[in-house]
Amino acid sequence: MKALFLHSIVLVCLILASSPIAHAADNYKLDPAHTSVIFGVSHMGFSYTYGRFNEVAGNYILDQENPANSQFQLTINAGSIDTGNEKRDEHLRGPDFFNVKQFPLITFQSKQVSASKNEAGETVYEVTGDLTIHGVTRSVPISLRLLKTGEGMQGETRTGFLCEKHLMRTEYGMTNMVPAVGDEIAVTISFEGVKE
Amino acid sequence: MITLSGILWGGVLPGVLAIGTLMSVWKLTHNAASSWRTAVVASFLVGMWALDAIGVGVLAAIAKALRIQEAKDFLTLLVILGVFPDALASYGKQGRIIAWLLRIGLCLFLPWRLLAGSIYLPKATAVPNPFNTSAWSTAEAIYWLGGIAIVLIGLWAIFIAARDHAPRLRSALTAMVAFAAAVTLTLSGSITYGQLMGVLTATLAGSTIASAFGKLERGPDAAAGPILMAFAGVLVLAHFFAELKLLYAALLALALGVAGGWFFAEQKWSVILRSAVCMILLGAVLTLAWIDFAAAQ
Repeated sequence: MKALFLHSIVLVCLILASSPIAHAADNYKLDPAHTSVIFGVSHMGFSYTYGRFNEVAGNYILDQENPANSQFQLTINAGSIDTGNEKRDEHLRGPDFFNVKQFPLITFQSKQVSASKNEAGETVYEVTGDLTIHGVTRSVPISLRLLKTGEGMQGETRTGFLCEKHLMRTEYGMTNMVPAVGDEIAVTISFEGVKE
Repeated sequence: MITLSGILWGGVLPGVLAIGTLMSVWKLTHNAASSWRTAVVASFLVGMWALDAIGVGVLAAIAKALRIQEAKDFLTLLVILGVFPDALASYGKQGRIIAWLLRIGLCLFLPWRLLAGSIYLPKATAVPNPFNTSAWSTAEAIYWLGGIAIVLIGLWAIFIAARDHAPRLRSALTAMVAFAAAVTLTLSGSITYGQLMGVLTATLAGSTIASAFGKLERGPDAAAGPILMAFAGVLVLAHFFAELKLLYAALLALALGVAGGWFFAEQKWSVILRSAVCMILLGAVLTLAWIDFAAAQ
């Protein structure tokens, strides 16, 4: 009887530990290998030039039962900008644009989180937070669409999100070469976090 | 990208303003030093703000000038502070001592203020940087900040020592050095800092024209503080935040010293040699910068 009781306890523990479903207030660390920050900007109205930031770090606390307790924090190495043209990237890193030696990081820190369902029935986190680019901090609202919560290849619990946002670079003090290089920047961020 | 509006607002405007300001102050006060200082400070600051206004409009540029965002915004403060030591120096021996203490303080303050908060001197309160950084050790910080300060103090000293010698030639050569620096900075990949040096070029050119027209017997030594703060400030920014090579910054600083500072003032051949050395230095730095630029294309 005692052995059966112990086996039951162990079994319950194993079931709970292996559950792919995230629980309240889980901590996640960003998986850089499955995180993309890409952007597009108009070149004199002729075309759009696309680029990405190759180095991103961050973590988040996800409380699916009480979304207001959730927090998101993202840090991007501004110097890791990559548009597929080294000469242009060098110019973008310089004082005419990102000035990365003075402002090495682009950061986002959430201040307020709520959740809702979209038309497709997916959970969307409405996050308002401080976005700092080029040394200028502005409060911005972003929508994070929860793509999936589940188990990764190694059995770890993962969540993944997608976010699309349009920013005006002049609002962040990057006023050079407007409008030849467009003011409006279309940013797409998709990230995965691994539960810690 | 150098545009027509950039040339008008960052070149023509400060140049014309320098001419008007210097001539007006000279007519009102007959004080050559005050005329130079007022013209240099007013024209450089207005030119800087006018450049900002191109991108965001006049009102936003005024608002931006009031809240410091980038290191280059500190140039306003530095150029204004640069006026005080030279102005105080005219108040006897005590004034000269205080002036030198202020000069040393400003020369130490300039590199620290421009680089504080950057990857070299990150703030303790800044968001932790999870990526590789190039933060200086204490020894590196002392080496760079101290080295820049010593060069600046040296330049300031030789500018003051040149007071009565060939003011018009020194004025013209100083403007030419600023022009060469503007070209070098632009070729090195920073339009922003190239434009700022362009504003200083226009300011010095305007002041030189007005000074020659009014037959003032003072040159850039009269506004040594504001000129050195602006020139050295932009060079520091361009070397540490853009791609200006240390060699080019050093050659330009040397050329400025030869152009506007003391240079064997008692010798008859001083004028010719000063001009020749200055031109050789500027030719060398422009050629090297052009070779780099061409190779990168």
